[in-house]
Amino acid sequence: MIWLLLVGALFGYFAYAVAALTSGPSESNRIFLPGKTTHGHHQIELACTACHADPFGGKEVLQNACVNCHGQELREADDSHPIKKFTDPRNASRLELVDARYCISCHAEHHPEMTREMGVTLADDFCFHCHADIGSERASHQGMDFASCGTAGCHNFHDNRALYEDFLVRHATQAALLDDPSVPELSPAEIIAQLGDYPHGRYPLTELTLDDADAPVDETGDDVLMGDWLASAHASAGVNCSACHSQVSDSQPVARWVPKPDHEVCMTCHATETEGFLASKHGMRLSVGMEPMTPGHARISMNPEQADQELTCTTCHGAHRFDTRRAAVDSCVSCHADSHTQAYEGSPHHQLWVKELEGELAQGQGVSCATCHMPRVTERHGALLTTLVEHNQNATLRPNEKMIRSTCMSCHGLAFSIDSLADAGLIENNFRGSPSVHVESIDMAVARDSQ
Amino acid sequence: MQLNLTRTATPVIGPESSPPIVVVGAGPVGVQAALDVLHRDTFCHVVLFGAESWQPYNRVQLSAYLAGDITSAELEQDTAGFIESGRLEFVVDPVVSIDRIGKQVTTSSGWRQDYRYLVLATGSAAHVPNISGVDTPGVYTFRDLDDAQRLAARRLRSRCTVVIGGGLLGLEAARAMQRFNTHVVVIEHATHLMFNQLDSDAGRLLREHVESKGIEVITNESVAEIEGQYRVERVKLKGGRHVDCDTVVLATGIRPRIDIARDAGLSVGRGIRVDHELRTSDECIFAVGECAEYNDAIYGLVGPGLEQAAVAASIITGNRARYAGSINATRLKVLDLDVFSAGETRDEEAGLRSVSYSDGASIYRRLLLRHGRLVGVVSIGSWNETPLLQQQVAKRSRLSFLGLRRFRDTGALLGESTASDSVIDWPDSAVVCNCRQVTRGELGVAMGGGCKNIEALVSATGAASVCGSCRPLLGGLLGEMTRIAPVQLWLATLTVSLLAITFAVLQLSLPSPSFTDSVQSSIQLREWLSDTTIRQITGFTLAGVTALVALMSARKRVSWFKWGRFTHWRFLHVAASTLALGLVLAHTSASVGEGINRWLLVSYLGAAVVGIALSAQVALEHRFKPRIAKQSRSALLWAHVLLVWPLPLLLVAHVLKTYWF
Repeated sequence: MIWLLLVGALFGYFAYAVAALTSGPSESNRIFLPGKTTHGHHQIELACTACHADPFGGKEVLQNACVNCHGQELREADDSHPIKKFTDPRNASRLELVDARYCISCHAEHHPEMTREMGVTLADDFCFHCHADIGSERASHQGMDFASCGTAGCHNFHDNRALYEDFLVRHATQAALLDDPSVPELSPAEIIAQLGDYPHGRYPLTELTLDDADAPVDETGDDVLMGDWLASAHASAGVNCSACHSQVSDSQPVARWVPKPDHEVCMTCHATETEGFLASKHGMRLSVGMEPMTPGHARISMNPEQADQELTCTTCHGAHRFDTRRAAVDSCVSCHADSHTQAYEGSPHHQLWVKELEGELAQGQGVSCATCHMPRVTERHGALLTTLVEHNQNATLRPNEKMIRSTCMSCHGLAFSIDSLADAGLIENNFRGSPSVHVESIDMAVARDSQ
Repeated sequence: MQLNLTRTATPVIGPESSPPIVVVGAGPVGVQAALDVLHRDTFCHVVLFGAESWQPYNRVQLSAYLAGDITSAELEQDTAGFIESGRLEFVVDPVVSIDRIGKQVTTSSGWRQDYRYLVLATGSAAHVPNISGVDTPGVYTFRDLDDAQRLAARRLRSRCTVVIGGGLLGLEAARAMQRFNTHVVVIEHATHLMFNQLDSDAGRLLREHVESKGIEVITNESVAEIEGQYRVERVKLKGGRHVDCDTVVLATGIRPRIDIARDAGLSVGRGIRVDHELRTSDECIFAVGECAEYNDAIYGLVGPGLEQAAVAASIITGNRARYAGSINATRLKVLDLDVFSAGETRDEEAGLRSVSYSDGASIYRRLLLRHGRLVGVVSIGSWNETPLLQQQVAKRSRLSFLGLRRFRDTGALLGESTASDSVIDWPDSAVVCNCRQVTRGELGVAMGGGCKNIEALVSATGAASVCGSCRPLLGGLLGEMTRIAPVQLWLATLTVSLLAITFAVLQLSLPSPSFTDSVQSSIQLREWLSDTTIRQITGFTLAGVTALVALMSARKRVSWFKWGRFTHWRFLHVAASTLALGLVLAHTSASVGEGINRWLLVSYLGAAVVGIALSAQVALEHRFKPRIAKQSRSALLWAHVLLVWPLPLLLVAHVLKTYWF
């Protein structure tokens, strides 16, 4: 009798847990976790359905989940090992070794005991499966350890945009510091000018004054707040109080004053930036419907005083002032407390940043945190050429060679960039000094080219 | 052993020339009173008067003697020590009168004996019913050793014996008379046998048993006349029926011997009235045993009589004691059938509630409750809880609802944990010897003091020295104390348990084998174990083996599942569990997992570790002290079940979860 009651209670608990599971992220989902998740997903590990979208779906459901978030990135990276390579019948025999049609064959989640760098769950020398005979094909590779293929500056499984042979040869002779070291100018004005459908009616592109402010009387901010707004690009581009604070939705057809607009409001104008943010570690929780990330969620060193600071757009940018310079350094170092961040102040890059702030250098010649981690990316959209900030700070990390083309080579030569990024000590002291590591990839490419 | 009838010695006068204690009646109760007084007061002098020309003997075992189960030497009561020391004088000379003013008794030979205190243990005489023909030759009573010897002689020539009276004595006489293939008929005028001890259902079961032994039983019928010209030829019943026979044994009850007390002017009813100190209306005269009447009750069994003797001896020797009546408890084998009754036994009475259990065949148990308190127990067939129930009747314990429910369903009132087949496991307070009220605890102390065989135990504690029905219990106690048979397959069970503990320890201490650092490595144990297909094979094999493990529980608890011996099933359980632990090790790669997986492993491994301890305990139980063994076993079993109960659900959740995601 008592056993029946206990069994009933346990059954009830499981039923509740399953109900909670299907209704979204919840602490009660923790019992279903089979193991610690990787650094990439631990923030959203309680949002089971973000990846396990359908029960009993098997590999296909998981594959869809991977592609939903990471597919675009792989396409842009011109993936060296795309799935279509493995669905080719000629490669069927290779699938028996590693079923590379599925991401989880190499990136199994919830298996901390077998997870290596980049969330790979195969041994480091996995290239051996298909490229065992590389030594005989390329004499230069003879005797090399298969675990060293992925060493910074040689090969990546997916993204080789900065590492392919022609690229190496083309940039082989670059000096350590280029002649005109600077990042591209942002181009909001040009973009607006080129956009045919810019809503000029709502944002008239005329500089607003205090008298223009259209907030209701009881919602008008103090002098500091209004001063911040007037000093911002928003005020100078005709973005009034109501542009952000007054919202209309399907359920609320009459305009309603929103005291604290969220990232979705920012997204109405800054779609690309917000998408980048939502794809980043800073915004991934928001993207799956969870509470915002706080530094307390992070696994890397953070300033404990900021542990409960929630991360949205205004956390770094600061509501009303929207100062991009503050967002580029001060916001970062207020939370991040790892050695690379702590070594920034006083580093060569920081000295340049100080000079830019003091006006000694032109804009775009100083090096802030954002210069490298939130690079300015120039893209062509048909006739439209845009230079916007990549707000996914992880996009060019892990492996860090992804940063070479988009960031380092704005100022530095390829060989210097490759060597620097392969030098862990140099990264830790924030690039004080010259690289002590030399990666031979360019030398080998040049040697082969000259044959 | 027959004594010279004449008195030869002059009584030795005590140190202060005070008159001795005089005990009248040399039955078991009288002898007990005399011995108790002598034990308690080392200077005291006792004169014991008997009416029979035999050494004091144990009347209770007369039927066993008649049946040939014991010899006359075993029947004798040991008083030799005191007689030799001169402190006890045994006189065969019936006392015929009491002079209360002169504090003297007079014997039939005219001897006058002074007394300081007088103890009347005159017992009772066989009740001879008023039927015509009871004085015909061939009609016997069965009361004393002379009767027993006459019957023993008669039995050889009797073809058909009628026993009048279906009480305990009648049934024992019937059994004894049957020894040489004599046809025996028992006639009981009440509605069922052992009317005073049993209810009608128990009586019916007893009757079936008695009849199965070849004894004819006639109930609800009384004898009108015993017929025969020179010898008994037949018995005529009131219903008109005739039963041909050549011998009649009267077992129609007892009549307290109160003549000398009444003549001396003591207060008498059916017996000699006594107070809570067993004093009669004369403060120097005590009465004990079957002749005494306390609170309108006369106790016809030896146990209460001995209790009374002990109280009276205490008072006489200047100690404090109080008699509060006895529980009429009988634990007997009647013709090899266990019959137990204690307290009230009537069928119908206002305010009594009766709860009974029967297995439909040979087991019948009934509890009588008054206002929720246990006042009576009747049982036919063996029941290991009777010693405790006897205590509960004495204390008028309140019974729990759950206990009563269990009793109704299973026949066990106290449950597994408190009663046991083996007397070793009885609690210290449980009475082993009803006659002497010797408890299990006292026997334990005596055994601890060096009693190695039954005789030593009997002389040290007095247990089994009266009716002897607890003698097998003493045997069990001694035999099992020195050597308890190990359970079947104990060595195999122990060996497998050791293997199992190895697996469990490995599971908890072994680091998971690490994944190899190279895909070129030839040994990829962890990779192989973690492979989805291998995981499913180990997992479902494990589920199957677990089901096999659970079969033992079914064998134990499902009533229709009786195939195979339980000890074999238990071994299978242990062996399969061991195999399962090995599979767990492989399935989990020796890691403990997280979430539901960890719960499952904790439940599984916890149950296994406790189970291993349990099986080691079972295997080695013969080396432990039984009481400790029993306690730790039930604690371990409880913990085992506690850890096992969530397992099925956790297993289902684990499997579902794995496929869900």
